[in-house]
Amino acid sequence: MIEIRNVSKSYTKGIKSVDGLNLTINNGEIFGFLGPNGAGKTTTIKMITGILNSDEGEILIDGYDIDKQPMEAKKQFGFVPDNPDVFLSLKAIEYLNFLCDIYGVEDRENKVINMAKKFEIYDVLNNKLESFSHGMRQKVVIIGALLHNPNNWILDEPMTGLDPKSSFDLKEMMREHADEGKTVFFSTHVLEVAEKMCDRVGIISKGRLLFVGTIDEAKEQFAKEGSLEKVFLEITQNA
Amino acid sequence: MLKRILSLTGILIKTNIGASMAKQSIGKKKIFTILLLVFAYGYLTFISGAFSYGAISTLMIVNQHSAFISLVCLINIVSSLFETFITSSNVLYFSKDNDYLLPLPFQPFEIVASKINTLLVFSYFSEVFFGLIPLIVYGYLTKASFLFYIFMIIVLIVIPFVPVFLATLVMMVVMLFVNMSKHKSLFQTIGIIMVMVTTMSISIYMTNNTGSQEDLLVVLNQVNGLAQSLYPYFPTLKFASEALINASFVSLLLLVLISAVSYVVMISVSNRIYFKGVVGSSSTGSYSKRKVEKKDFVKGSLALSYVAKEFKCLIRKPVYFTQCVLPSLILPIIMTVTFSQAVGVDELVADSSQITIFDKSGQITFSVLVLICIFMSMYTYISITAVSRDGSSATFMKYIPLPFYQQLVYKCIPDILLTFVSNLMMMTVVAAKLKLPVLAVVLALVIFLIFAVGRSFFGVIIDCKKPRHNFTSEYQVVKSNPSIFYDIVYNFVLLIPSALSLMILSDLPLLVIFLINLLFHAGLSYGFYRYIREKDFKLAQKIF
Ligand SMILES: Nc1ncnc2c1ncn2[C@@H]1O[C@H](COP(=O)(O)OP(=O)(O)O)[C@@H](O)[C@H]1O
Ligand SMILES: [Mg+2]
Repeated sequence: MIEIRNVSKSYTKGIKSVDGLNLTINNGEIFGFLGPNGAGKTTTIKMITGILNSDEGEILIDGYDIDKQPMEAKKQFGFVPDNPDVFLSLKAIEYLNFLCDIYGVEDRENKVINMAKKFEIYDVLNNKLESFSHGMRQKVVIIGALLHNPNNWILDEPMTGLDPKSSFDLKEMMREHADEGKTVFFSTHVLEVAEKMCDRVGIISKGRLLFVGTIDEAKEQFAKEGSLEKVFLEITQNA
Repeated sequence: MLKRILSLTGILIKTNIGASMAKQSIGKKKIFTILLLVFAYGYLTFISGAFSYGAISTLMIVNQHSAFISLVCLINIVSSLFETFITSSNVLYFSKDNDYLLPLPFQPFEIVASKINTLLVFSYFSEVFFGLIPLIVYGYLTKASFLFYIFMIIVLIVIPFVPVFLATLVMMVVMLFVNMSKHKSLFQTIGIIMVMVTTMSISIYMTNNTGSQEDLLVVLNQVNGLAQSLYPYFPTLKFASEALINASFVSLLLLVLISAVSYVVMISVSNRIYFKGVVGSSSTGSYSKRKVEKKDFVKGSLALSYVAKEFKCLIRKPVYFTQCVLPSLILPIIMTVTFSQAVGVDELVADSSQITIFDKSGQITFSVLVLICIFMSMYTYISITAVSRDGSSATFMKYIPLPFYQQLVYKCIPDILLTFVSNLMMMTVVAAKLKLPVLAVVLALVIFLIFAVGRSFFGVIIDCKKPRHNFTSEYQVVKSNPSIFYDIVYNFVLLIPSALSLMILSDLPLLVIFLINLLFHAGLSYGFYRYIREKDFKLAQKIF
């Protein structure tokens, strides 16, 4: 469970990149964080994960405050950043094993091999991440985020660069994760993704949260009929 | 089209050297950095000027001062050649900007031309010291006319053309045939080692041949003879020398003409071969077919695992390896070799065998060794770049459940280990050769180790406060990172206590001096540790 209470952030004085954000993501749901480019999605996610300090407000992950109890809070989530270029000089297997050491993962061999086989990168695990394509790096980072079996899974634009099959696999994994009663929070600017798989969505534009609810509620509230795209455009344009 | 090439050149130069400087706003800190730069450049200017002054005065006595011109031209050609060998692979092939540049709507030759211009501009930087200053001193001493200075400027502008092109061409041809992604590291390392060997031979040669004025004359004559024997192969060397010595318009014209033609030829040739190499250098390479095995999953202790990761990232990236790790290894080797070759070392051995730890000589030995070690570590930039080198993965430190201070301590270990080990090797050789008392050497190494710890803590603190992880080219972190100056200043400042103990404390017993030094350095290191510990995540605020 992720609770975001009244959180704001500005990089430059006077311009709020995230403005008074309130959100609660419950256990067992997939929450899609939707918004056009530059809306403040990455900024929000960086605050949730402790990469950025918020100017105001508080963020709780499974009840732990990310500022006040950072170590406990950080153990509760697995994070997939928008840029999967992590430690490119390491081999994939070295990176994953390193993460296992950090999180103290048991039974690491089975976990790594199973997920790597699922993503079809098992055969290349012994190569440097440098030689991986964007999508392959993405897969390694996704595996790394799930090794310690976190209660909360946070992903920033996870579908970017994945081929259709991997994208499908990822969606399945997200569904499974949520069905186990855990939380999935991911950002995207691609509407179809959100429409198909989110239990609830939040729509953000220019740092302000414009809507929270199910896709159907969004459609109901904004346009009596029509595609999500229209709804999306309508919401973000009227802001 | 010309405008596009020029602006692209400007951008490339900035991304390769100056971007991190340019972004800083004017303020006290910037002025501090500028002062340091002025200091460093002033020092080089002084050295170059003083050497020229000495050489020209000597040559003027025997009326052979024109030989100095050939010497300067030769040095500039050779240094451009070498410098381009080292930098060209980074600018042309391993630069991160290739990934952004290639898809942009630039004509291929516009990119090639800009890259080559960038290399030319790089060679102008060293020309200031190897060419401009010596020639100004020459002009001053020989009371040259205004025309000489005009000629000088033109010659200095065009003389790097041919050597830069030659080196670049060789690099491009090699890149065509070498499987880059496979031999990337090897390639850069060989380049650096070549330079290392050359530097070492020169330093050995110099120490064997310096002495009286006659010796200097002999050397200068030899070099001049060498220069003249190279004339047929380097026509620009001949024309440049003649243009400056005889103020010959014809030679100057020929020089400019050859350079201009070579520029055009260079662009058109490299237009053909450059892109084949560059595509290979950034694309995915050979795959290891080996499957993962049980041993790949061994559980390691957190500390060991983290430090191992630091070492891997440091050593596997050629730019980091050559810029951060190699200097700490090379410098002690050069010093040891030079030392064992130096004149008068036998007398020193005779003297030093009388050193004991029980009188003043022992105390002096201790302080001098500490001084040397501190000085040697000045060129190791591992800790000062520890966070920035991670680039976009620097934020990794912030979202894993591991205290920030703890990660910083792990990040300090490679620097401490490498500087300590290389100094240990050097000290062992020197101490064995000079038969220095073991206790003095060991105590000096202990002090150095504690110093190295404090220095590393200081380095990571500075790096956290001024992180440069948002780079476009790795070169920015290790080459043109202003933070490195803080590191150098730190070493200089910490030379003071050892210098003081050498000057005013050497009457005290060795162990007392050791304890005083120990208290000072241990206090400082502990102070930095407390600072990192207390600040913890606050130190990471700028890393996002
Ligand atoms: N490092 C930064 N410095 C200054 N402004 C930034 C920085 N990162 C993001 N911003 C600004 O914050 C806003 C939100 O950006 P971001 O959270 O990255 O958007 P999104 O992920 O939704 O595309 C944008 O207007 C962007 O310009
Ligand atoms: Mg984003």
